[in-house]
Amino acid sequence: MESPPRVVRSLAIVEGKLLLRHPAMIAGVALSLLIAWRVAVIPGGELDLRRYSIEVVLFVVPLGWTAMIAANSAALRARRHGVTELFDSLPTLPASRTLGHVLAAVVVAPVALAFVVGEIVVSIAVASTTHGSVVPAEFASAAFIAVGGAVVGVAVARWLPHPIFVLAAIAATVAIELALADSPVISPVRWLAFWIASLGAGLAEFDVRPSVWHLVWLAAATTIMGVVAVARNGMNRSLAAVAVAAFVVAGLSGFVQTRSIPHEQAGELARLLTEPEEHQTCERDSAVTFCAYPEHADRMVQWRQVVGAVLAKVPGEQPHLLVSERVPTRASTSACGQQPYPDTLPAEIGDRLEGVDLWPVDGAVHPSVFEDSMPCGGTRLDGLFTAVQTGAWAVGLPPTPADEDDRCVADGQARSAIALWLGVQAVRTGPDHLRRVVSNTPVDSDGRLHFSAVDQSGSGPWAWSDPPQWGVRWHRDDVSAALALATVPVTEVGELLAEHWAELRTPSTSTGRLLELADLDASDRSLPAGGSAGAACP
Amino acid sequence: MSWFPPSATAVLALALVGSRTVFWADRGGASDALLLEVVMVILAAGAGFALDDPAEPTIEASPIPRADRWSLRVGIAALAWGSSWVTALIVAAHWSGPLPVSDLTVEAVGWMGLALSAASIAGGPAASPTLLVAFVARPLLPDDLDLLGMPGSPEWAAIRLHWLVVIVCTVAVFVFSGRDPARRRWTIGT
Repeated sequence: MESPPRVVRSLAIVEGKLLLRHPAMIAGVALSLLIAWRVAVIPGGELDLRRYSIEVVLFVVPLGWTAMIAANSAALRARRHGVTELFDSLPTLPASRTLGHVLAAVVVAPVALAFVVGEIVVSIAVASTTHGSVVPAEFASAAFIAVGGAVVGVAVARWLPHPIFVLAAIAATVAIELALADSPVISPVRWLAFWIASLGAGLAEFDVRPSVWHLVWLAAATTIMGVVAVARNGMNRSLAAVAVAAFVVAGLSGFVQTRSIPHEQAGELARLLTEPEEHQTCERDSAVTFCAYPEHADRMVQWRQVVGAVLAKVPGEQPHLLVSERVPTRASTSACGQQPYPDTLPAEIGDRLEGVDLWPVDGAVHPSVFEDSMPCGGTRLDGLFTAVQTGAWAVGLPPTPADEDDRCVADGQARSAIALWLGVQAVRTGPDHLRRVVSNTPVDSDGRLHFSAVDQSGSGPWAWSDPPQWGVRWHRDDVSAALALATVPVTEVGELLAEHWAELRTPSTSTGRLLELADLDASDRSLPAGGSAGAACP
Repeated sequence: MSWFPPSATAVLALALVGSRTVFWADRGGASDALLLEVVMVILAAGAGFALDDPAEPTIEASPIPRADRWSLRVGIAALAWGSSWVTALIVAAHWSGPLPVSDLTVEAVGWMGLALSAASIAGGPAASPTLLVAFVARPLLPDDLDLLGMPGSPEWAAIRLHWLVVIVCTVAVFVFSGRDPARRRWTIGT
């Protein structure tokens, strides 16, 4: 005998209302709002809507956990109040009660959706500029994650009827997520996790996301957990049919999601890096050609600004300069560590780049596909890295690293300090930005800035996730000299450069000589003579 | 006292610590520290059930004060918690090398204090959500109330002080909640 559907419906409505009023749910909403307020909304910042549609779902995860606790608590109510035997004697069957709890979980969906939509709207309102477009298929997964959490809470309560197990269930979801989605290798298997971060490869094209199929996968997995909960009280024919259907859909969506990127598509994506000139849009003027991938075309405004400001201070005629966007030699891991750039790509694309030199020595300035900022998406540096690259180009130093991350040394050379000064003076609050970079960067035994993630824990202040793409390993004393030079009026330094340009850009001219010409005290600086250990810059 | 929650959480916590070498072997110090913190939270959640007593309404009228009954329960739970924590540290020391045991234990006691204070107000099931909310909300605290950091880091001295404050506060809440209903000058509800 089964309880009539209207009984289940009534139970679901009542339990749904109770679920929404549960203290754990209220705490979950408050917690998600707090996280979103503190972490997500950046007034005046730039907002990539495609990426944000993905990331905003992460803020719903605490809500999913607390929904799990609330639903678990609701499903254990009879046991907690010692009325299990009384419930058993009532006409409504235990399976119907469980089904009522499972269906009640659906009320969490509108809460989660309202949260993410509200979050996106607020973020758009406070952002200075937005890129791309909102992807509903991405943020809709918030609803499934929250509902799935509640259904898991009910299933755990039915099979392991003690509130302590809900904590184990939360730990299990975290473990599953980390095991599947946080692998160092970008594998399609990650799509079997609950939430999948966008790839940190700098270009949206590489982030091939089967978003709709992932929604189907989450829906099927939630249904399976609902079946598991109800099945505790016995299987009947309709429940078995739902189970079979859910498993078929889960199998199908799981298979489609985890297929490798097709051969041709992987080849086309790899060509974005091997033949950038074929895929970039360019703007050319008399002195400079700027090229960027289409999704970053608006960055050319900033490049034009800082490159122009550098070139304006460089005396004499300069050859035509190419400023083209390029992937960095090293990029951030998901934990804000550092890894070779090809490791940030799906394996199918990374395999095609083996043996290909993505960073040829071409003498051009190459802004990174990642914006110039402090580690782990920290303070924006307003194009400082690009400006210093341009300064290096102007004085004849390599603007960017070669091969996999080869950087040369030019210790104690006046042109090093000039390159840094040219970069610093071209950027608003440039000296402050450079000081910030230096204070976050360790110095090696030779006194040079070292942008590796030397803190193995990955949590220290020296973990550069996206290191500056500079071709020179600057000596700290040359950096100090550039900062000292920045205290002198720009016009005076400009005149000094104009007068002594040929001498100052010669490798044999020391930083001490530069400071002497600028009437700055070089006596308290232990300036290196130049040419110490390391490959010398040409 | 039910031994089930502390036993279950001890098994879970030790399984997590033990599985590190299998699943998380290639991860760094930050992940290891996070893993140990998760272990602390899980063990604390188990200890939170120590105050649950189905006979509480019956024995409320007995001459033994609630504070004495709770102290006894917490003492027994602390023994179970302590043995699980020491075992977890021994296992963790195998993969991480020497550990700052006293610093980690201060934090672990802080988590247990949070669990017990939540349980003293709303029962054992309230401990897990309280710990979860605290764990997730911790990175959102202002810098001068920071509870997030690795032992040995430059900020740890301040963080340890914050944890000691947490311990003192949770003990105060626990003592306040542990007064006998008859001795209370006011009560919430009926």
